[in-house]
Amino acid sequence: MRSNDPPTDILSAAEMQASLGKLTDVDFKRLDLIALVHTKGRRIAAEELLQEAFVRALEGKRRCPRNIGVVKFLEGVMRSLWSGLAKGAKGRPAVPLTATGDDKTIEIADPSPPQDRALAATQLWAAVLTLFADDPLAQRIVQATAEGFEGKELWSMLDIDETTYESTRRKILRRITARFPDGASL
Amino acid sequence: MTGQTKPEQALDRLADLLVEDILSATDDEILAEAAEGPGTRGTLSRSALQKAKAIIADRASAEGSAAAAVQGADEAWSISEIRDVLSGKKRTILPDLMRALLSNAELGRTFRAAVAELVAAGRGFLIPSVASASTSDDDFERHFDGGSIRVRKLSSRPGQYGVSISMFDAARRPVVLLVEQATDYAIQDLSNVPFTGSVPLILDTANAEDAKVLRLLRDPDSKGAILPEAD
Repeated sequence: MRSNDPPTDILSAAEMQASLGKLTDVDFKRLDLIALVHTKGRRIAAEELLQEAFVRALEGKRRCPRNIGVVKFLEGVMRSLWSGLAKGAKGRPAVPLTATGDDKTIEIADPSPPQDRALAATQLWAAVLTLFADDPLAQRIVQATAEGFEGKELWSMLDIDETTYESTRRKILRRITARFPDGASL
Repeated sequence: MTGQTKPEQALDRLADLLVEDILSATDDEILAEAAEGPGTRGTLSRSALQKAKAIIADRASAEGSAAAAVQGADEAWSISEIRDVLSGKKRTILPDLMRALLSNAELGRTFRAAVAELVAAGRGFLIPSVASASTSDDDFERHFDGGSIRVRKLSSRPGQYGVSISMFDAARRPVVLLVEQATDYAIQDLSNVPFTGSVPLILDTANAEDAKVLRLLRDPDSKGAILPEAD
């Protein structure tokens, strides 16, 4: 951004408040799903992550470019907050997880020490794979994605076309998010 | 991702893929998930937004903002204001009242008095105590003149209970549930929960407030009230 760009590229505090007031049922549902995915289905942590993202947006600590949409903007804030938490928690049993950002300290409940989180991740990963035991293609896409493959490289490795890939991805999304029953973990 | 185990890395990559899909999915696709399973109802983000607004109001109030003080200051609530909120005249600030109740014991007494007044005036339903405890802690009902409250343990979700508040008159949407004993009480804001003749709730015993609502509903000596939306 050029230094003399007008501030109109960014939503003002009042505009952000108005935008949040206009969030639809689908927007709220989408935000729930995003927060649950980031927190791996932990309901309390997901709500706290959402709350902190809303606080930052309302306070203007995070500024929303006018052209990206509020839901996408909030996703970015949540991603950044959660990433900061993960880095801050590495190697120490934070109870609860604590991270500092800007001039505020946020606390998001995740009382598990690193070894417990690793165990939980192992169990969760096994649960994800089991979820697709009846669908070998979906399971292979999940595994390949986890290995870091994406896009064309992934389709070609699995010998599928883009349409098949996209439709299977949707199936993966539906099945995993359906396992977040109002916040219960996978 | 140094320091992460392989399953943690795998889950993070999968999460990235899922978030990308959630953002790009159409509204219909997002709504369609409800058809595949229980899904979410947007309750987490609605609740988070309410709490965030309350935090902002508190901070603004601490900085001396007169406008925020109107919404944020606990001591500003009088019994007549509470009656106005509960009877629908100022329903939009119900979340502020709920938040204030969490930290202000005196306000709790005022709130209970306001509810009692509304019930006495026929603008709410009394939930009476019952003669004896239910035979099951995990599946029981409480009845009131305008309907009933059914509580049952969810076998598929450890620690969680499904609560359904059914109204005989499907036009009378319940907005507040109060359950109380001599020394304790719990309030549930129902105003944002979808209503189609009944209000479905999922209460989680891992959440202290939810656990308190369940404990009090189980207690045969507890009483309470259901306040429906004003006519």
